[in-house]
Amino acid sequence: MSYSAKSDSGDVRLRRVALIGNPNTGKSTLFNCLTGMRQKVGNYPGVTVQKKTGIALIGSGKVEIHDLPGTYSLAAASPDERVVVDALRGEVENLDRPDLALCIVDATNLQRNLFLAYQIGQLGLPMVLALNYWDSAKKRQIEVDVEELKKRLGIPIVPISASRAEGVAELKVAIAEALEESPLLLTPIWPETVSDAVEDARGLLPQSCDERMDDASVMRGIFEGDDQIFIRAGASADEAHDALEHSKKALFKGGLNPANAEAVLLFRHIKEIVEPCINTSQSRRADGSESIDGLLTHRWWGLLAFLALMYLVFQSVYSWAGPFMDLIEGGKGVVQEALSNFLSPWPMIESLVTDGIIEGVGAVVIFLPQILILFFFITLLEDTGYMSRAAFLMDKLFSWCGLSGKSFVPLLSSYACAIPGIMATRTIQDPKARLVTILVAPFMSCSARLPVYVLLIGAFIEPKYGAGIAGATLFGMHFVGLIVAMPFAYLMNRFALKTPPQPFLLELPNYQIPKVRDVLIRMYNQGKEFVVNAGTVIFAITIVIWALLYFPRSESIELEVQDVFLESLASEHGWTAAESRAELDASEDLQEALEYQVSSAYIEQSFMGRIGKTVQPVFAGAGFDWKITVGVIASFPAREVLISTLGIIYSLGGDVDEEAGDLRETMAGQTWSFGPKAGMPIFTIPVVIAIMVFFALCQQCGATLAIIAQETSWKWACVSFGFMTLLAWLASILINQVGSMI
Amino acid sequence: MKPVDFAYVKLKLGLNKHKRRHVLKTLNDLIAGQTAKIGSYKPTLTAARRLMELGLMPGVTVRFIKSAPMGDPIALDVEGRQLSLRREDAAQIFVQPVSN
Repeated sequence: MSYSAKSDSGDVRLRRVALIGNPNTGKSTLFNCLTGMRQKVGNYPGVTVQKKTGIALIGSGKVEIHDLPGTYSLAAASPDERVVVDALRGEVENLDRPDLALCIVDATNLQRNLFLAYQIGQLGLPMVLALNYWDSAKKRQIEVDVEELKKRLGIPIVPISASRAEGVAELKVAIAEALEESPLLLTPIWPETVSDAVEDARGLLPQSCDERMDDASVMRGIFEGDDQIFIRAGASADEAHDALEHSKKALFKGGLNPANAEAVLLFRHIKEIVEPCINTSQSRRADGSESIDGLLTHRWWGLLAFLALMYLVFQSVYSWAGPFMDLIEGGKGVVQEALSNFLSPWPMIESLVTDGIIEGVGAVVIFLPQILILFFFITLLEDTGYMSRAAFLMDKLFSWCGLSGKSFVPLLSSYACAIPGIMATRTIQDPKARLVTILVAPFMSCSARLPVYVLLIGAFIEPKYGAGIAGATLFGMHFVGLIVAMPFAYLMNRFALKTPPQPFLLELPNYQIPKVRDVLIRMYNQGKEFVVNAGTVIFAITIVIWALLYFPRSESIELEVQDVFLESLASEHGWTAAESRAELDASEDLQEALEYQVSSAYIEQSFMGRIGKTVQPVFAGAGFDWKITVGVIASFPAREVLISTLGIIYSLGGDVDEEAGDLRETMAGQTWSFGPKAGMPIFTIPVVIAIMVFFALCQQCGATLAIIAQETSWKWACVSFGFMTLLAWLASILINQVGSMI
Repeated sequence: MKPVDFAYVKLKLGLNKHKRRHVLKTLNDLIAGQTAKIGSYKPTLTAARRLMELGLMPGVTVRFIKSAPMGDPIALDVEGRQLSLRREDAAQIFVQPVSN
């Protein structure tokens, strides 16, 4: 037997069940329990709300389960909630209306949870109710008379303990039966005032709109005070407004406040229905969670525990990911070398494959260790219930600039890498706070900036001022971004973002023991989504950059450089042309030096080099010569390439690292070859600090832009890029100009 | 013209801190461990609908658990659930303290 139905187009499709419930009701655990690894993760069209579907084997057939975001109500306030409403109404593109709603409720908090169930029932969707946390309800001696409740609600009800997979078999049976019988929730009988208000609204709506809307939809419009519902159904803005105003007046006349009529009436009804079915032998108090909170949200111990936990999370992303990243780097090197030997007869293909394609794949995969480790911890923090406590502890620090306590973990993670940090902002429900956090995250000093600081501080600050000042500078550089970011967040929140703020309302759920399977599935889904979405963009950017550095390429340059090289050898040692050629052929060191000079010449006349030379005047104010400018421009896709680019430009080869003595020496020896400052060193202290601040503030990371676009839209990726680059440019000029005067 | 609500204006201006006990209390005025019954919301409260959906309805008894280490936000026990909200919102919810 298979639960499939004929759709309009005539082909057989799977029956669809929408899984819905309040946050913290164990919804994901149940979803994972029903579908296992048969899951698909994507995004809803147009919004960045994760869409999860999976196949459950029910009876002998397959049923598609659609995991909707957790919500307290159908009165949509955030994109997440909008999606829930649209999906239940069947208004999402390429997504049919579900055949059944599987509503999961917390058995220890039945009354509040049933509010959402009643709203869904109002939409006329068949329903099965799963009473989760049945075991802890029993432990807390909350007795629910399931048979009586079934009678009063009119739908199948199955007590389950999703974390132990208890009752899931019974639930599957109930779903199978419900798909055949389509049981409907007995909806409350609304007082006459409400039906009057609905009649009033109908009287003012145009015929077409009136026919398309059932009473329940009209009622939703009135309760939510949302004229968009009527406009979508075909009413004009004026008609919708009139209908709404009149129905509100009708409610008011009947003694109801339109703003809270639904909540008041529905909760009153729920109380009547549910109260006789529940028997609690002890007074209802938060259980053991409150005593744990005595420690974990304590004024001192709580903060201490928080700092310790965050240190652990940060260390794991910052350090523990290191070996895995080295492994990926090493693997990449091995593959590059193998292919490079194989492809050496075709230099362009070789370069495209090794420096373009393999590099691009590596650039995507390299982020996976950090993403997976961070989401391991985030899932643990969320599933235990600690994440809300962390937000509770930290909120005060962030609220003044439009962020929330939930911004802490994403911003902290951004100190390791903005990619997992921005992905972690999914834990922030308020769309405005989430956007501001995403825009602020790239300001945090990520680990890719560290080599740049180490190189410049080691080469210029340390020799001049000693190790103490060098250490302090390195420490200080990590706060430059943060100091700039907070006022930026404040201004964005205050003036730029028009979305109304959502109130900070946080449920502190009871502590739970997380399920290993939930953690692993979440890590897998996040990693996969990153590779599929942002990964393709990052890969494409890498190929483009390769092309800009490779083309145009004429073989004559190699010969020219060789001639110059031989000439300088000859004049240096007093050799004849033939002697120097023989020396070159004999000495590997000389060959290497020549090779480096050739790649330096190639980069100078590549598109990137030409752009650098053209753009150089823009950075003249900051004291950058064309070489630094090429380094800066080449670092836009990924800032850590500065070191290897400088290595190539200064003819030292691309394999130098930030600790390399010869790179430091070469840089220290650089002087202006022409102009008013001819003969003077390029890297003065103000210029060095200007470069570091530029790197601290600039949005030089294609992967971050790709992830911002994935999580918000390209518009915000452009805003982030434009603003950060402008800010970095201004700051570097300011520092150099002011610094040079002192 | 609407009559001016002097008690409310004084409360707004903070003129009657010395006799706070005589004016309407809000959730913001409770101390740790205190129990109170939710009264009405100020009309300026934007979160009214969401608060009600979360069970913070007029007539419901809540217990002030504690405030966060930095003083804000606060944690409440609402019928066995812990709920946290900021003080600026809490100050817009009138309550009737209940003696334990």
